[in-house]
Amino acid sequence: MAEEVLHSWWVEFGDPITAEDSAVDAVRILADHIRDGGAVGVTVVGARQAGDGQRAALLLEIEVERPQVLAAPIRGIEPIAIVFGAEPKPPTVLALRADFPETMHQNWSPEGYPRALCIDDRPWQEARLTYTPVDLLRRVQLWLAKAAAGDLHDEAQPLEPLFFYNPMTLVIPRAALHKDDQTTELMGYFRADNDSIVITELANPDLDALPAFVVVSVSVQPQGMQRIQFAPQTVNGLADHLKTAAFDLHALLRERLNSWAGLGKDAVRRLNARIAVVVAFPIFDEAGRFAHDLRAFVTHECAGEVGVRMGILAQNSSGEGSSAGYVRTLGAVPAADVSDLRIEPADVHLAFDRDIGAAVSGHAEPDRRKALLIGAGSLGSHLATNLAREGNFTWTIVDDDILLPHNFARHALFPHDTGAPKAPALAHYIASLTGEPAHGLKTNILTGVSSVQATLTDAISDTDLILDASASVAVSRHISDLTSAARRVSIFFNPEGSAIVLLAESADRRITLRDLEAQYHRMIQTRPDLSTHLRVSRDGLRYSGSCRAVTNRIPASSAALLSAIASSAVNEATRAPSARVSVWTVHEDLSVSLIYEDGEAVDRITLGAWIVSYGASVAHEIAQLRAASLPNETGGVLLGIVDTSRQTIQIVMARTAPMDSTGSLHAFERGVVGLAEAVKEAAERSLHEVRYVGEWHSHPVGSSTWPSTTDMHQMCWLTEELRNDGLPALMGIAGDNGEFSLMLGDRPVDDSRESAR
Amino acid sequence: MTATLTFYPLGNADCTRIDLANGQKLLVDYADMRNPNDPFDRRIDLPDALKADLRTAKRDYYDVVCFTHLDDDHCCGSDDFFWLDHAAKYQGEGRIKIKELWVPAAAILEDGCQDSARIIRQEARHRLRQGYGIRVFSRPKKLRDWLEKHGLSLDARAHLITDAGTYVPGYSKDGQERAEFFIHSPFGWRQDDNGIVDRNQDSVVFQAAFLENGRETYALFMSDIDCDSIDQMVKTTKRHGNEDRLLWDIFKIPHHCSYTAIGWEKGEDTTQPTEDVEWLCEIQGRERHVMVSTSKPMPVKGSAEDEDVQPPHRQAGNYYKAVARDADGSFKVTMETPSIAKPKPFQIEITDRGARLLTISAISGAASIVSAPARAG
Repeated sequence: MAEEVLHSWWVEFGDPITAEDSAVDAVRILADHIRDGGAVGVTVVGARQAGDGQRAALLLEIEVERPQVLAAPIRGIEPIAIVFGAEPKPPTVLALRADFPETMHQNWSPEGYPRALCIDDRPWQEARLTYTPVDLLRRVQLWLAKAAAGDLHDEAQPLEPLFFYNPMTLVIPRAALHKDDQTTELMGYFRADNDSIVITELANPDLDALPAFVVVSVSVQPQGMQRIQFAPQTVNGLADHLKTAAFDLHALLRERLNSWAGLGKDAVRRLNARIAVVVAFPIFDEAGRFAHDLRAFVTHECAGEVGVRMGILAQNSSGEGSSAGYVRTLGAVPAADVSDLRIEPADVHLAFDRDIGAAVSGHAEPDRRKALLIGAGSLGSHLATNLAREGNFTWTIVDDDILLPHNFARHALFPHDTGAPKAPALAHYIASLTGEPAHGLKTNILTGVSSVQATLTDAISDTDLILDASASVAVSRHISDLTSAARRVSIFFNPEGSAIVLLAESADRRITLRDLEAQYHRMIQTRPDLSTHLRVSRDGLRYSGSCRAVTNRIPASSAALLSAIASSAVNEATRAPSARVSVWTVHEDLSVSLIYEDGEAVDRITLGAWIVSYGASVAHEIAQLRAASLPNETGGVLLGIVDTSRQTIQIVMARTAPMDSTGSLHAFERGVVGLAEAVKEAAERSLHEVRYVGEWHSHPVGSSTWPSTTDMHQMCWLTEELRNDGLPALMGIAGDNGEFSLMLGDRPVDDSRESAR
Repeated sequence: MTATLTFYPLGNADCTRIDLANGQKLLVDYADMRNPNDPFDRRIDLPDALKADLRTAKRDYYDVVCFTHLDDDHCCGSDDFFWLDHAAKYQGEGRIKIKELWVPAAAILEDGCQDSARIIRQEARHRLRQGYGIRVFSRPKKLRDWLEKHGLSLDARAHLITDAGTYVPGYSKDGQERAEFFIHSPFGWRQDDNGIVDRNQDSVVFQAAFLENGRETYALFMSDIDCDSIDQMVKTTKRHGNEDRLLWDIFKIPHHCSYTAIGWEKGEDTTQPTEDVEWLCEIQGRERHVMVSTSKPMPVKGSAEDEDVQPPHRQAGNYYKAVARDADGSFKVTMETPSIAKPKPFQIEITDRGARLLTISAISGAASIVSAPARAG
């Protein structure tokens, strides 16, 4: 290959050497490998060493595996330079043919330099563990083969480390891309602890730190826009490129510099900072999706000096005001020569927001549904931060508590927030994750605080989801009863912190949190693997002298694990239409098991002032017990959840007849053996949510479920019995075809009797 | 799966494996030329290589074995390798079965052939008599005579005979195999005119067409014919308006790179092509094609090999290299690839971008190159 078709960089890189004489070990080793015949289709045609003696390069001719129809004009033999420098830098692979094409998967070189092939995605620290000359050459050959066949897909263009040793990184808010609003002024500041990263934020006159950069954001139209192939080295180079998209960079800079001129504090501050031009190049990926390829270019000189070179500004020599100030030049300005105004590229990162969160989490797009979170404790805080990091939800958070020292053992917030109200503090944190406002209301949803009541009411009626992380039965029932179209989900830990429970309403709200609470208790009563689900250890931690100041002993790791499950579960449940009760239990070996049921249909019967309800499985259970005893009658006690404040009874289960019961064709007398123990055990298993609520018995085939005289007597007895507990008496009669009638006895005795089915 | 062609380093001898898109395996010629007693013999152990491939594919047969003609460098060792139906002697553990045997009519009609050629002839005759598992190319008068001598008629065997200028039945670009074969040679009339069989000129020449995702790729298998036969073939094809059937992306160079397949004057450094050879090589070959010389390495000018009357001829090689260069294509010699010191089989993959000679992708280990870190955190 004649030298004249090669990129001139090769000659400029250094003096010719014999590869065997190179001071750089890797060059000698690679050359030896090729000369020994170890690399088919690869020939060494030259070697050069840079003046510093630290870097050396081999020039190779590499045969390319090509199909007949080329995806890119790759030649059958390509001249490729491999540059080795001092550790810890990876070898650089440069295509030395002067007109080597642009393809995917190249690193970015400066204008006037050869194209750099990105042959390995791994960090060099990882890749060097298995580096061999064979592997290096195969990667180059594979890269070329893929380029020829169109199999390279990565469109990223990282800066080539050979040319950009330590590039700066700019972090800019996404809003900067879309606002052409000149009043939105962005300033870039170096972090005190990292002088290669620049954080940009809206200009803040109150900030004392001097900005290092003023940020000028350029967003060009997709029409006619070419991907920028090389990093321009001068302002003119960049301007020329932008001109192809009909964008006048010089005009923008002139206008900005003009507006910044002056001797005020802000003007001096701006004009003494360097200019960072951030360009959002529109690109389309292979799937035709639109995206922004973000590039930043920083000037070497400060903005004032750029203005002087452009002939717009002059250093303030008036003797008045700051001598570091710049003023507008007056009158005719000589044609400015800005050809030597140098720029260098910098990496750009968008500041974190929900779009990045969703993308990094693998979600197609952020879920912007409105969520009202009730409870900003350990579970609520982890749930909200997990979901917000994934780009999910527009948040309003309600909690009346404040952060106390013991909270930080499990809470997602940090001790510098000690004493802060939980809801606003969490909302502030969530807002920084989504990049959008989040609201925190310090109020108790049950009792309310008048100052925020209107806001809370609006939030309830306006939200898409209500997430109950209050760990309170009272709050959960209150939320279930709220007037709003929002779908509701309750999540809570069991008392030991070994399980996480999710109650998710159906999308149509036919099955409510209240219904799911009863179904959850039925699962606890009937499923052997949930028998200890509500077990309580007695050594709660007292965190102050107050008698209610006891918190559970649950380690942060358990809270985080369970919260993480809850976060995913909320995501999934709020996307599925059906209602769901799920219980995940973490076992001692850290395995996790799941028990779940879809929410079941519920019958609700109004009996006087009370509402009695029971799920389909309770009705099924009763029908089966009756069928098993036919032709005789049978019966037993009913267990359920009573809410006297709401005057509701939810039947959770019907027990079988105690062994000393007697059932005949026409009568049933319920026995007592073992009954008290069974009811007590059920109550304890439910942590006293479930209790005795009444009796049921069956009628024979062909008989109605109308109460007999005996039944009426029984009802009177039952009413008297339960009056001692301050509760009404419930009696159910099961008949043919699944018919189940309920009677409620209360003082004064109602005539309430209604029949279901 | 895409189709691939595999060429083996066998010296001046032929064996090409064609793997079709539907997994069918075809062999064009089989010549095990290696001398196992010579440690410096660089030719491949062909039965070993083919059996390894069949084992991988869990097969003990080829769908088709085509002997383009019965010269030793195209059928040597077949009697040791294949399971042959005509005699129990050639049946046994480890022998490779042939579902369909393809031969030129000459292979049936030859008298007095020896060794492997005789045994393949016997197998072909057996199958033709029995009426199964065979395809005979061309129907010279003598074939009718032979059939009648064995109490058969040409009509009764017509379904097993394919003439030049037609496609081999049972293969279609639109079928699962996505391939078809157009027969150019032998011509029946040519054998009628000549009293004795000229194996080379009566050998099977065909165009294989492969369809991959809308792109058709053509391979011309030129066997051992000379430039007179090529001229004849080109003229006949043009007369029938079948020029497309002589398009090619892969060119199995005739007769181990003999100058006689280009022109009758060897030339000092380059053989001058006949008008028809020039048209075939320089016009019909498509951009970035692959030419394969199934031969020993190209002789160096002035070397003893350069003086040898046997191919490969340096002058022929130079002509093909120039053809390849002009089309941005490549010229590969089986005994030079990837290196003269260590020749290995090589593959041409049929892709939707045409033929692709595999160099890096085919190397074991290339696929294992990963670029993603193994741990996330």
